[in-house]
Amino acid sequence: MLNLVWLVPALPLAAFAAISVVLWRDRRAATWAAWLAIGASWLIAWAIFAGTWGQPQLATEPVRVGILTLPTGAEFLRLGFMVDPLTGIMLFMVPFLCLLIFVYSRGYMDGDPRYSRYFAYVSLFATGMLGLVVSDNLLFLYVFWEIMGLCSYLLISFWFEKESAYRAGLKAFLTTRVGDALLLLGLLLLYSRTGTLTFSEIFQADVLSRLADTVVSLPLLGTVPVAVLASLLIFGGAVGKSAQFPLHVWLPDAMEGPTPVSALIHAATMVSAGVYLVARMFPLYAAAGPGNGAMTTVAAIGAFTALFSATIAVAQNDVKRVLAFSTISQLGYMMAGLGIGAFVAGVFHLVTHAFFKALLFLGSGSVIVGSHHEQDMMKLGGLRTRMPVTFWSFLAGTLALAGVFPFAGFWSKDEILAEASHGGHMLVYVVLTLAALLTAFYMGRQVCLTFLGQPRSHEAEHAHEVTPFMYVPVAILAFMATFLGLMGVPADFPILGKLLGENPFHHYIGEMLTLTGAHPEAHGVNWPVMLISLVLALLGLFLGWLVYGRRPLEAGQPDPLRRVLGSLYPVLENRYYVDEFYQATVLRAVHWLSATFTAIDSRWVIDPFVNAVGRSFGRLASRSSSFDGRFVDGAVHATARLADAAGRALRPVQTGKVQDYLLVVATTVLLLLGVFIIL
Amino acid sequence: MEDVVGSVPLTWYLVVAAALFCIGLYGVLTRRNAVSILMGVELILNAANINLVAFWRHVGPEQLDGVVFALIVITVAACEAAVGLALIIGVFRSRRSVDLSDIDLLQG
Amino acid sequence: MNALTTLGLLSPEILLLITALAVLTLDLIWHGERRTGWLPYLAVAGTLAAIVATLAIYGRGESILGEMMAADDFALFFKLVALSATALVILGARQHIAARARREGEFYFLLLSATLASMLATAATDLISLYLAFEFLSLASYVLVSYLRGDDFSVEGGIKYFLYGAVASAIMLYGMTLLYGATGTTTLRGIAEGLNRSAGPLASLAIPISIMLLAGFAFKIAIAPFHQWAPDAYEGAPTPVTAYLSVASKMTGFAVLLRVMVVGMGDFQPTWARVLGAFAIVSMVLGNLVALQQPNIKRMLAYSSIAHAGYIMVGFVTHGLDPVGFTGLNGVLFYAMVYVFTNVGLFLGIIAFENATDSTKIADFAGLFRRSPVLAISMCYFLFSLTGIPFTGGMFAKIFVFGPAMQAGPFGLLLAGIGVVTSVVGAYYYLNVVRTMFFVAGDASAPAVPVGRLVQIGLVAAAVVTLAIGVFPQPLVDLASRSAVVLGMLP
Repeated sequence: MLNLVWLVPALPLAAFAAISVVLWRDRRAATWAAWLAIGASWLIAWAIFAGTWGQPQLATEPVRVGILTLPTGAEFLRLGFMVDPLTGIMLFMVPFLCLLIFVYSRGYMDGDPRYSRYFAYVSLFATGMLGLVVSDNLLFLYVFWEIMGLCSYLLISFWFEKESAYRAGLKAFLTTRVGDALLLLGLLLLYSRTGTLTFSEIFQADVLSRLADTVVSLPLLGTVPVAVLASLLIFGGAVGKSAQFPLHVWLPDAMEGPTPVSALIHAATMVSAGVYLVARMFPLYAAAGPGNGAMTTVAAIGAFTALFSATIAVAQNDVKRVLAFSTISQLGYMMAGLGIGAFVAGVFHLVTHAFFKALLFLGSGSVIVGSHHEQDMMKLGGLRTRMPVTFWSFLAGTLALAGVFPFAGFWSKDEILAEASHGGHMLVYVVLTLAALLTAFYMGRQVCLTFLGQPRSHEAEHAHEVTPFMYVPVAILAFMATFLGLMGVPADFPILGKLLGENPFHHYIGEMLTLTGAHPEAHGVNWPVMLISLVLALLGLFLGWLVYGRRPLEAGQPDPLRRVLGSLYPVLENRYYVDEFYQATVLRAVHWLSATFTAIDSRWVIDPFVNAVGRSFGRLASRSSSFDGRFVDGAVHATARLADAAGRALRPVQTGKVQDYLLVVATTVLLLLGVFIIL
Repeated sequence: MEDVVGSVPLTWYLVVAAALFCIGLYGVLTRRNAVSILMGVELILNAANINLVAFWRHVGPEQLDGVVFALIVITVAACEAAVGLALIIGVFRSRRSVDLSDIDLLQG
Repeated sequence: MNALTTLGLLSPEILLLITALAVLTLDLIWHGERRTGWLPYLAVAGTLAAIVATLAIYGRGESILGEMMAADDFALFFKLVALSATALVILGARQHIAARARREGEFYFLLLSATLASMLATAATDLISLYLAFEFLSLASYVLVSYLRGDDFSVEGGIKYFLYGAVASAIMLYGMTLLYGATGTTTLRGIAEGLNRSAGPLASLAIPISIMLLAGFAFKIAIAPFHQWAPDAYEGAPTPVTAYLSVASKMTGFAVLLRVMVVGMGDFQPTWARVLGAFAIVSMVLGNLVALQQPNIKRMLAYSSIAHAGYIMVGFVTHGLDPVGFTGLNGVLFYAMVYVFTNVGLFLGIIAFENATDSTKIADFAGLFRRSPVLAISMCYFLFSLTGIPFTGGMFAKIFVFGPAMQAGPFGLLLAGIGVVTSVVGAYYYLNVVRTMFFVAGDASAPAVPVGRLVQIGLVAAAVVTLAIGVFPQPLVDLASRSAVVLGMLP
């Protein structure tokens, strides 16, 4: 059975091919092809998951299925797919969510002129994500990683007639490419030092210790063990994909895509691929000992992002944007968990979060469809009676995200907090606890504004419940969000612990830790931590109700928080001006360069080459200043512009006069002759 | 006659050939007329021919490869001149000029 | 070795020669569209026959014509490369040339002659045959570039290409004569022995001499800093010729370079590997950066092909740095084959577009997806392959040249690093074309672009092969490895 793992990504790929070549004319056929493929994938995946449950030896000796043998370098590169507990748990989560969201999409995308194309894209995306989790080597992982990036780009700009959608797609693509470039460098570094890209070969104890012991010296950073450097570079990729600070700017804009896409790609699966990558490479991160630079960086960035974006979420008014920042925040949680060494807790939160965040997004999608495409929470309200199924499901998701007993998020979030407190990472603990309070608050705010009170617009007034294609998946997810956490209840929790088999999740995933040389041990219940987080969750929800639920807003009334927070509110509303900051720094850098080159220009007028360089930078500057303010994209464009400028500067070398070319030839030949005759 | 050729050291031939090469290259780089450039190229080819024959005489007169090479070079040079002049005529037809500094429609 | 065996080993060349002459003759005696319409079919059939003949003699590996030529697998591989390119280019040329020039038969004749020259050059193991084949190829190419006699750009491209090429090959010839003088022989094997025997003054001459040779080879390859003819000639030439130059002619240059350097200069590998490595760096950086700025797609692809020459060179340099095994070399061969199908495939799309609109400006591709979705998607696929995105042959090609380079010490790592970074830059201008075709609104009333049947066949063939390599590269990997290993085993 486990040998059939290659079918899991292959089936959606077949669906993609079939839809894009043959079936695109017929919507029904396209839908069924996508459904059948992902359904079959899901069945196989759960069978595989069931087969790995209770097989701890798979952690150290995964089942491998070879696909390719490539002669590169002095050795052969054997690449293929594999199954181990980490893959198993991802196979439990990903295909199931894909299936539900595919079904939901049938309702959401109904009537769209590019309906078939949508199903082709999401099928290709499923290939990417499923391929990623079953790859047994970094090369395949990278390939599938890029496929996902491409699909993400295509799906964000799916409604490319909208300027904002097209720009958002491009921004996502370019921003994540910054991370991808780092990831590729990390991959190259590992390959050059180990000669292999296969996980099981890299995670040999002697290879890991060699990587941890050899150091490279870098400018600024000093000497760094190879293991740490590689980990940091790989983390760069994860930062891009999982939208961690400072590359988080693309994810909120990505909400321009269809809502099921937001749920599938930008909440549940693709963005968690970054976390998965860190979890997958965990032995490498841990190789240089606890508290090394790589782990600390992961923890710091994760914790900071968790709090940072939770504060932003408080002041957003778009239904989906709140959830987008919430996603960034929760991904930060997982990163922080992995960074402090809480591997099991991080993966646990990854799984539970995928379910309840998909639920919340699908719920918000239902709200959007039900209320005739009104996304501004200030104009919604009173949907509780108009959309009851959606409301109760959304509420389950909210309680799970806020971390209320016994919903899924309570167990996983608490485990991260407990590990942080247990391991003595007090700063991380405090930051994450604060973030938890804010999380509960903004979710309370969202539920009150959207579902309670009276409708604040015509659209919300006439809202209606959505079709079964949409609310059935949502209801199933609500069920999962409520009960899924029970598979990771601490063993010594009263009654429940014993009843549920003494934390089966930990037994399943914990074995992966043996690769790092550590012994997997589950800590007992930390009552103070658990009570504090529960109290804060309830307090947050209560505060949310106090501000927005007790006296519902009237139409057109400003956010009461605006008065409370004073001048801080616009800062949060504008996301700490990070986008603007990138804008300002990029422009300033270009301006500075242009000024410098213009100065050179005025002094060295004789030299036509320098002249040309100066002129082109001058032109660039005038163009960029006219773009000022309109051109919103971030630091990524700096590279593009520099390359642009360099290319422009090189063009005048090509004068069009053949004798100039010949002069270059003669000079090159004579120069080389001179060099070699003299040496 | 035999003695005269044999008594001239190899170096002399090589120096002449090198000088011819340099003159040819100089012409190629400085002349503006396309036909003059073609002549510069011919000079370089002739420098190569002198090399070939001189080397053949001094290194291995028992085999014919050096002279055969020289003959082939002469033939190729003729073909090249034919094609080159045809191209130059083509340029002259369209531009009424064979001054290379004017021929820069394609650039950048 | 008897005459019959020699003829057998030369059968691809002979078949091609017969086809070329038949095309020329029939073009003279046939008149009227109905009959001359058969000429491209005849030319393609001859090329395919030559491909079959080449495959039939694969693995024989013998030296023929008194050490003038080698019919080894290495040469045969590059013959396959040249022949595949020719077949695809002929498919694309029909409509394009017929609409722009008076006679098309001559065009196929010249194209087939150039291919014949390529095949001879890849097999040459002697300076004399090498020079002869090389000049044959150059002369045919000069005429091809300026084939459109009434077109100012075509004529200008031709004259520039000619003058540049004449000088480069003259410098190369001068180097060859010095090599002959230094070793007393013209066979590559003899040269290697000669240089090896006299370790003293001759050895110090070997590198300077090889640099003069490089001027000729690098010109054919169009690698920086010997690349400057390429943008002008590529832009000026008729588009099918541009496609031909960017693959067949370039890869022939690589074949010759590889053979001369590995067989003839094998003892000096580490030294020239560094020189070529420097060329590769300059090419990758310059080609990609300048390509960003080009408004004309032909010129952009000229710079892109300069960059790709750099990538391919990385594979060869790796072999030079670490000559044990043939690891970098098989990457070069693999890349060559992939590049043929990808690049010519893209050019076929451009030809179809140019036939309909008479424009090669990137901006004019706006809205192509609306007008002709299939054409736009197939061009998009080739652009993806050039970028190196998965499920295209282009990705594996990059892996096979950069992968070995990473293991070849710090210099190799540097090359691979620059290669990877510059290919990211490359993604911008390739994807910009995709963006223009798909997302920029064009003239809404513009009709669909008609694609001729021959061009359709070519597009499908190129796409199928690129995809096949991208999904299942193993057969080509094996073929390339086998062909690369053979190099250096024959006199």
